[in-house]
Amino acid sequence: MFCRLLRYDIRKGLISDYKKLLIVVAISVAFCIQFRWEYTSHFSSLSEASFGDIIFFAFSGMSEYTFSPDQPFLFPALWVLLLVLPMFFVLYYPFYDLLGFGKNVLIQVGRRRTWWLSKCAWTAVYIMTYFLIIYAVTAVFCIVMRIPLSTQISGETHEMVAMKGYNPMLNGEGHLVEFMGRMDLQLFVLPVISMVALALFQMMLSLIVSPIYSFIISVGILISSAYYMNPFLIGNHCMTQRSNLVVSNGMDIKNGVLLSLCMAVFSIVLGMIAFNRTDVLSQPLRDE
Amino acid sequence: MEHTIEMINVTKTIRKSTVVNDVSLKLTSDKVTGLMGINGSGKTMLMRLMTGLIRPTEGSVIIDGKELHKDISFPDSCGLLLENPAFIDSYSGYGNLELLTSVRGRATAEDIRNAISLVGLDPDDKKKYRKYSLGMKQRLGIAAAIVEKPDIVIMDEPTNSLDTDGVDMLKGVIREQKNRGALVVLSCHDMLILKELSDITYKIESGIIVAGEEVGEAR
Repeated sequence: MFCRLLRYDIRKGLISDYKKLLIVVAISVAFCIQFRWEYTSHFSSLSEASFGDIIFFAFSGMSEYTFSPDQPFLFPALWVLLLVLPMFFVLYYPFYDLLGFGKNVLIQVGRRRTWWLSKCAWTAVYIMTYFLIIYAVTAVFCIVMRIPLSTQISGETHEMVAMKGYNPMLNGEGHLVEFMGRMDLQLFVLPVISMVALALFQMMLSLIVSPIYSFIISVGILISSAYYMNPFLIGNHCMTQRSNLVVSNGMDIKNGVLLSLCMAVFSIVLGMIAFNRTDVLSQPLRDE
Repeated sequence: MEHTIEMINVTKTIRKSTVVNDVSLKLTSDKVTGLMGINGSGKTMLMRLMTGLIRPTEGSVIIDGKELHKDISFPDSCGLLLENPAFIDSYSGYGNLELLTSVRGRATAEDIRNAISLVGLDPDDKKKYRKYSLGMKQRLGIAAAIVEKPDIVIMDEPTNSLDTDGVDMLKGVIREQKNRGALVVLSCHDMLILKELSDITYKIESGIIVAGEEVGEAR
């Protein structure tokens, strides 16, 4: 029953609603073009750039912000946009489904727990699809621009980001210290699992407060992550510039994975308890 | 097998407002039950209580001998039309029902086609749901409620947006559900139509059953 319900959720909440994901394609193309423009304005050609460079650039976020009158807070707009968008996309489906024939489905399923777990799995699938689209569009851009599909971060990208005021830990050869292998986790795994965890947290909160307030809280967590370099603010783990692979006092990947797993499990369990006690009314749950 | 819904001293309070007040009812599948009352009288809440979508603040709801929220979370086999049906805009009527029934996998393609035909729609019509008229949407909602041949059929305001042909169609649908042994509960604010469709009617005011009336063989 769970698998069939998840398939229903994917068909209804993802495949039939594919037009939303075209926005992700457009944004991905836009940041690839922005990368190209910034890169070529600093360096003569794209010969040293790689697929990893573009992803590093997109999820670079910002270096640690220290309040000072001389240092204005430069809002990391691209990073915020890339992470807020999936939170918005997964916000309403689980609850608006209950306003339509999702009510029939819930009754057919017969168990609230199964319904909730399917919505959690749907959320994870949605977020993974979102990131896959970003990576796929970037890969296509690389193929078109004849940029190698390597995940190695080039020295030029370090320089380019350094020009924005961040101090990378460079070795004697001008490359970032300790990038090998673990940077792939930072680029391709940590943003996905962190955002899955935050989306599950948001869905759980939607039951307790309401979808719109839970979205505001998610956005608040992401923006606070930009202001404060704190491992408990999950957005910090999605900024490549704040990884301990890049700066000495940066975020540890293991801690990021652990925090995400704890947050996800907490949200799933608490949400299950809350949904068991929730009345399915004619408006999105607590919004009524 | 006869199906029953028994409500014993059921009260539902939402945010300090009592929407269903100490209701006791026993509904059986040999009689189509109609609930009438003005908007906000508590008909829909009563139906939500019968389906397990909301929990009673006090009292209990027993479906075929099993208590909701204790023995079972929801009725084992229940078709529902509650308020405005909402389907996927980009799917056809058939596509929507095919998706809906995919969860349990109990309805065959033939069942889906029959349900769509029974409500007067064309199962081969490729028209997207977004292009349906209000009446067609309501008909598809009725088809969704009966497609899996459930033991209990609950329809809230099924006559909404239906023309006179539609009401005649609904009579046929209800007769068929009753004949195959399903327990049917309807609500409607139009007393005349409800009496045409039901064998027994209950009038609800401010969450209280104020009158019950046997209509007899109206059809």
